[in-house]
Amino acid sequence: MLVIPRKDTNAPRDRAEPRLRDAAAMIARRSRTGGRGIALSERGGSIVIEGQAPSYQEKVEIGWAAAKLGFKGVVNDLSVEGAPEETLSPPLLADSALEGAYYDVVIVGGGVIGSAVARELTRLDLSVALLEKESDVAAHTSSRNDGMVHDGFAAKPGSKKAAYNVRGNRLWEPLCAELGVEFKRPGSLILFGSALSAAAYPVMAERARRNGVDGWEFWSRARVAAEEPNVAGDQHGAFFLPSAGVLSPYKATVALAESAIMNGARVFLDTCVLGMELESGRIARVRTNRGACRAGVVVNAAGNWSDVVAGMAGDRFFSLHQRRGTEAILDADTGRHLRHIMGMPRLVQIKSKTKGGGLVPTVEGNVLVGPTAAEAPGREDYSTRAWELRELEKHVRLNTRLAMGQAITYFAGVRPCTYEEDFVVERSERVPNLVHAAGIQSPGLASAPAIAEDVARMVAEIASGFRAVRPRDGWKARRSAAPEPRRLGPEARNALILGNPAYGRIVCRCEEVSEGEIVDAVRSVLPVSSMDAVKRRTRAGMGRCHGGFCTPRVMEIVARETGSPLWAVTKKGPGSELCVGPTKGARV
Amino acid sequence: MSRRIDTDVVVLGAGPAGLAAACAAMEAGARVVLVEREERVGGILKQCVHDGFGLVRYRSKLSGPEYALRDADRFAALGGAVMLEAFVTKAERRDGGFSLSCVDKGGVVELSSKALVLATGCRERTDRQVFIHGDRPAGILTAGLAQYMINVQGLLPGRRALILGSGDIGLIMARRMTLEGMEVVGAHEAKPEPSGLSRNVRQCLEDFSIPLELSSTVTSVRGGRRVEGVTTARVDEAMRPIPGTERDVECDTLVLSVGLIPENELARSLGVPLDPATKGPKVDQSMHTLVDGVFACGNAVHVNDLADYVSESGETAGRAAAAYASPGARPERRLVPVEAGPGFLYAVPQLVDLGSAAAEASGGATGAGSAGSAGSTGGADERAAFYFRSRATMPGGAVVRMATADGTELYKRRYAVLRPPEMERFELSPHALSEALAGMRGDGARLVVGMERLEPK
Amino acid sequence: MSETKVVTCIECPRGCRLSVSVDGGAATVTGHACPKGEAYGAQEAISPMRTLTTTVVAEGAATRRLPVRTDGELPLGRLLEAMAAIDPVVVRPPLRRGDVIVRDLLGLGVDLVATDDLVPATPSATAPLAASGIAGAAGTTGTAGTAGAEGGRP
Repeated sequence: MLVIPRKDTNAPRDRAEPRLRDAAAMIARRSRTGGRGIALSERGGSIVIEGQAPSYQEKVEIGWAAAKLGFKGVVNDLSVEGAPEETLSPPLLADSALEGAYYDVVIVGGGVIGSAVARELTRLDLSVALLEKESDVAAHTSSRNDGMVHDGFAAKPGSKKAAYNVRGNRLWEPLCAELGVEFKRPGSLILFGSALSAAAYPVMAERARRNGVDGWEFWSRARVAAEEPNVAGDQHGAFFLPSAGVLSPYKATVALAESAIMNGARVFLDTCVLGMELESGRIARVRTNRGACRAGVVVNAAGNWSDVVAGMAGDRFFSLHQRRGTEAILDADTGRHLRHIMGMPRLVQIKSKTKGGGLVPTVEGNVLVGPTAAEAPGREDYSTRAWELRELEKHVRLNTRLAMGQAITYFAGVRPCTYEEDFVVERSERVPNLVHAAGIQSPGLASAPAIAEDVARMVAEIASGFRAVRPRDGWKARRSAAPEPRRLGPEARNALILGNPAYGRIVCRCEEVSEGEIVDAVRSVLPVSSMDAVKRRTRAGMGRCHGGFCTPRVMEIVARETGSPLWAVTKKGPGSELCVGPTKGARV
Repeated sequence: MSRRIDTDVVVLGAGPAGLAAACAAMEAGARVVLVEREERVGGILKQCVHDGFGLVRYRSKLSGPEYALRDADRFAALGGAVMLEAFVTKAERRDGGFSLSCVDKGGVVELSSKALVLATGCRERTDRQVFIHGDRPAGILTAGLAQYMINVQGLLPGRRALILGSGDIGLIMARRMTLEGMEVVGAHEAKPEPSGLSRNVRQCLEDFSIPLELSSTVTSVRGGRRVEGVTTARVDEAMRPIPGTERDVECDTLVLSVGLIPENELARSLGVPLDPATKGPKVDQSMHTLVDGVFACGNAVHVNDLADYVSESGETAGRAAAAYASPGARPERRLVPVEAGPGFLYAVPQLVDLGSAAAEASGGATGAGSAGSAGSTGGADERAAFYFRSRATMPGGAVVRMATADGTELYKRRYAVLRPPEMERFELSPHALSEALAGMRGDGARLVVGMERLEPK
Repeated sequence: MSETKVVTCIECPRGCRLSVSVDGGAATVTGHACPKGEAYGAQEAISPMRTLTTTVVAEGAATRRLPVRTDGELPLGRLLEAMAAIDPVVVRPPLRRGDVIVRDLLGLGVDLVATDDLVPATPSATAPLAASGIAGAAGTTGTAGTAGAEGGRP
């Protein structure tokens, strides 16, 4: 039997909706098993695909194909052997911090989107709570990317991605100035490796024009050689996009969250949303491991779990698949060899759902290589594979001064992708007090400020239905960022140290991070206590020794500042303690 | 205002190399400032509570702290000045000398000196550099970090550990962890023979029945928050994992002892050329780098297996830096390369300075050189020490020969056995050097060290 | 009846492979390069002995542990027992290298001695140094702070 509509839709086969019949035919063609055992139905305008898929890749391909049929969304519930559906594993923490509380807005997820939305909402006199299940903001996708603020060229014309990207690109620079976060605009070079690829320039220029990208140029071979001296091989010129920028994605996320807190928002870490209670179709209460709170409006910014969170509100009209990307970080000393973001075009874009990866000069002076793109199950599977690193070699070869031997570490991130491969940024059609900012994959970082503006506007519209919404008095755009002594001149640094000697005690020798900066991170308005959180804020442990020297020193400071036993300092929250106890204790 | 200090010699790093260099430079009459990042001098020896240090230098078996305290006392007796918890943020050449920006808890200090001694030691390779895949939970640490936690912080890093690599620190830590009550399930070494010293295999592994798995590695780590296990696999001659040999081992700790890399960020910033074989600066027999006035010693130059030789190179560097900083004409440097044959992993020094060798041979025209104290080999008849490691184990031994390019032999010795983990050392008198090199002129001048492998009897 | 054992010498980094033939109570060693090696080989074949190096808990000191060693060897088989006996030991500053921490460990006739100096914790651990930031080693270096204390046992 081929694909048929589900019986419970009460639609006899011959009277099935024509689009479902198209879908069935399409799946029958695509599927290696002819679609046997796969059932289709329509729910709230979305196509629901159920049954068994022989592989994750095939599940994703069926989803992609279904996305082309014009449904509102694709709910792909195919099960794949060996890749069971994942469930949230809530934090070990359990208390009643939220029990009985009320917030005008509850934001689910403390990535760059949730944090940007929180800050944007504090412009209004609404009470805002951001719930994050990890021990820090930016714990997942928002810290596991290359920090590129894309120009907007790569997005599909007409997509939400394209519009948000171009707008977000313009917003980031002034936003970073307000937040005290470094932003650079090195521009992006798409190299033409052949005369044939150079011939694509007019097509590329047209795409850039349609997307509204801020500037593009053709660079001749000579110009490329002059402006990017270490470029390898015989390039036939390049497509240059001057608006492409870079920032530190986790520093930006932390800064957004801190700015939100400074303006009155509450951020609850180690707080996982477990369910939602609806009353008359509206979300009334949000249940967490720290009690249930009432919410006026709920914002779903739950990253790789945003389809699950939508489901808690009964509005799962889309579903996510995961695309893992692996990147290598080259030594801080490599940045001087690379002036621009650089990559090769993918002329054949059949399977490519993302920019092809390349070389990114970070604000910190390292070079990031990657990312790869592989459809793989695992919403939080950050394990890396040997073949992924081999794949990165091709990017490194674009620059004569770079080699994989300069890699100090590598990491993986997971992009939360809808099958439409576009963002979901909208008010729920079914739940009147729910706003989705979901499926925010690449270029999500670049788009975040623009998405936040729109989401905040949607929230304000909803909120004005139950209370008056006015601007907040005394809202502060500027975040007073903690000092970074290594960036100061000698006299300013001297004065800082005279005021607080802890800024003169270097704890992390690779990245030149002082004790004072670690204390600042632990005592900030968003206090953190894990090594990873401290690392994200200060870069302590991020350098070439990879924490070999500074780990004990950072542990001592964190333990002293938080009152934790030294051994119980964690890598990334409860359950990841670095040690098991003191020596000379009870022998096992 | 930031503070300014003017001195003859700045020594960076107060481990065994830096302490010896600072002492030797002071004994040679130089004004010295010793700069140390940590709270106490002694470097990594502070955490080496095991014994075995000082057999060469002091003819006794000392623990790490005891060994370090000897030169710390000597330095204190000389009235030496040390900046503790001080960190060099910038180093540059200026006015024929050096200008260093430092920070400590008192603020910014601008140090200027005539000579600079780099005694910055080495760092450990990490799991990322050996490309272990999988998750990144807590419980993965280098042997040196485990050593610091257990010996200095008094912390137990886990209950059940697997060690990757068989470097000496890893072997030492296998014993320490066992003594402190942890279970060490094994040490896995990708090479077909141990990387550490035989005596450490004996007294750290075999004494406690800890298995050593050769030609075996860790390919991935499992565990979300804390390590839950690792996958090991046998490897082929090219150290590639052999499919089908994977084994899951339960443990909560993975300790890495996979090699050390000289720390040379400052050397690099000063434009000091490095030797790709040692990953440290190229030096001459006075531990003088290719940048005039910059000297280097200890594990920053090449990773030693004995602290005694670290100290020895420190003495040489300190003495030479003092001579360089002393008033008067400096002998012109005439550097000839020392070419190591294919049998060598590396040989140090990589160059010989004929200028200073001639000066030494003619009775110490190096100014401050005559102030050498007891216990140092300073003075006019200072001999040039050469250190090398063989690339492969030579169970039947080998003949090592040093000669000029035209075949004049300077040194020859038969070694009963050569192993890469065991550094070898020989020395030449300045007379031998200067006589053999007297005729050397022009571009072709060089020394050659060769190795002739002998078959086991 | 004679039995031959091959043992790796641990006296120095050379790690000589020794052949030891034991006949009754007497051992004959070959393969050694020095008298220490010969003695080690003989002892190793009959009853392996080891120096124990470890730490003890320090309170009120600048560091949390004090490195210690036995001033003689003890049987290899009793190292873990010795460790258990050392576990409860707590020391307080000031102590100097060479100071006896435990006398006659396990009744084996060896003492446990300090191999580092133990100085009191300074409340000013995070306070600035003297304005010059530079000081004579004798005052501020910690390790170097006990100038000339070598062999300073009373």
